[in-house]
Order: sequence, then structure tokens, then C-alpha cells
Amino acid sequence: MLVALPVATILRQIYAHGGIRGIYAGYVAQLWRECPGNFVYFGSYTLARDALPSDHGETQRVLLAGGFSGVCYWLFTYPMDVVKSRMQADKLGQGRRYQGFVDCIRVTYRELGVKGFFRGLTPCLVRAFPTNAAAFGAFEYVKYLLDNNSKPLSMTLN
Amino acid sequence: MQTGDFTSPTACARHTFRQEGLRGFFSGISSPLASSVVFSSVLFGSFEAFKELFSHTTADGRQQLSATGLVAACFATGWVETTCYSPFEHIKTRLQTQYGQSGNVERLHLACAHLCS
Repeated sequence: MLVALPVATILRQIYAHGGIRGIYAGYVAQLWRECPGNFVYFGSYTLARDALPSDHGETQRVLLAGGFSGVCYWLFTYPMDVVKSRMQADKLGQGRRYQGFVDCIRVTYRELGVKGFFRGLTPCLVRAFPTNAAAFGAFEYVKYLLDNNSKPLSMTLN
Repeated sequence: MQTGDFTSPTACARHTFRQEGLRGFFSGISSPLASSVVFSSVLFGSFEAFKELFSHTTADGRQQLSATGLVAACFATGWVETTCYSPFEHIKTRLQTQYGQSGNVERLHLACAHLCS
């Protein structure tokens, strides 16, 4: 059985091999995931929320649109997430496999083809719907509370 | 499951329930809970702030966000998020793939259970 290394040890190892740059491994890939990803995330949420018929209550619309936007986000960003994770899990020091962002894409494509960029997508999508429904539900509710001077109220957004 | 102690998800779930009851399924929840609190605050908070920053006031005095403004807000949020969060993602990736120094990249996306969003 493998034993997880404690966080401090991992941090020290990464820092010893690559300094701050090492700590920020996968930064470019993550930027490429987050920036366009946010547009898809918040965009699909707004579109879905407006598109859902108004005879659904507001709560239902927020939850459905939130879950939907999470699925859209991961479908769109998954390849970049794979690149990010591969770079972050790369060996440190001599055994390093990837020279950088572009190199990681190239190597992954050569080894696994397009399919390689979608490994593990299914469990990720299964998880995306409920977690993002909850995230947007909580966000809208807290925003509502704040906009209404934090007056206590029953759990209704309707 | 991730530590290789069980052969199937159901075997793992059965054992956990018998030994620890429902509570067992939530063991270790405090750390992801704390990190998702910080992550969500940064994500939603900075997005709201950037939307306000990039919107303009219309003739009738309302705040309006143009399409370009929305794209700018999304990218700015992504930048803030990534800069704050990248080191944590890095550690998480290494923890989930269970190797610090030497490793097997092929097992990597088992770790897909990507936290936080």
C-alpha cells in the first residue's frame, strides 16, 4: 500500500527542485482552464437560468442552471485540466517528463491521442452537477441575504 | 478505495457503514470543507467585484456590463483564482496521485475527482 507523504515534505521537495516556479507548476494550463472556463461557467449559468420556464420556482431554476453550468464547465475545460494535472504530478528533478505546457500537450497527444485528454471525464461530470447546483444555490441565497440586510428569513428564494 | 484497501466501491461502502455508521462517510470532511469555503469566496467574490469594475453606467444611471466587459471579468477572475489557488491544486494533485518523488503518470487521472467546482 502506498503511503501519502505529508504536505510539508511534498512542499519542501517541490521547492528544492524548482523553487517558486516548481510550486506553480501547471500554472499556464490552469490559466487556460480558468479564464475561458469562467466564461463558459457563468455564461451557461445565466443562459440556462433565463431559459428555464418561470413556472419553476426561483430555487429550482438556480439549482438546475448551477448544475448545468458545472457540467458545461468541465466538458469544456477537461483537456486543460488533464494537462494541468499531468504537469503537477510530473516527477521532480532528473526524471521530469514534460519541459513545459506545450511539450506536455505534445507528449500526451503522442502517447494517448485525443482520448488521453478526456481520461476520467465521466466521474468528474457525475460529480459536477450536484456540487455546482449546491454552489450556485448557496451563492444566490447568501447574496439574497446580504442584499436584504441579512434579515433572517425562511429558506425561500421563490 | 483510493488507498487500495477495498476491491469495489460497494465493499468499501458496506465496510464503512458497518464500522462507523453514516458518520464514517463524512470523516475527513473538515479540510475539503475549509478549502472550498476559501475557493468559493475567491471565485464568486472576485467575479462580482470584476463585473462591477468592468461595467459602465448608462444614460439612465443603471450599471450595465457589455459582452467585452463580461469576458474581461471572466478572465480577470481566472487570473486571480489561478494565482491564489495553483499551489494548492499542485499539492492536491500530488496527494491524490500518492507519489511525491517518483511516480507513475498513467495513474494520474484516477485523481480526476477534482475538488472545488
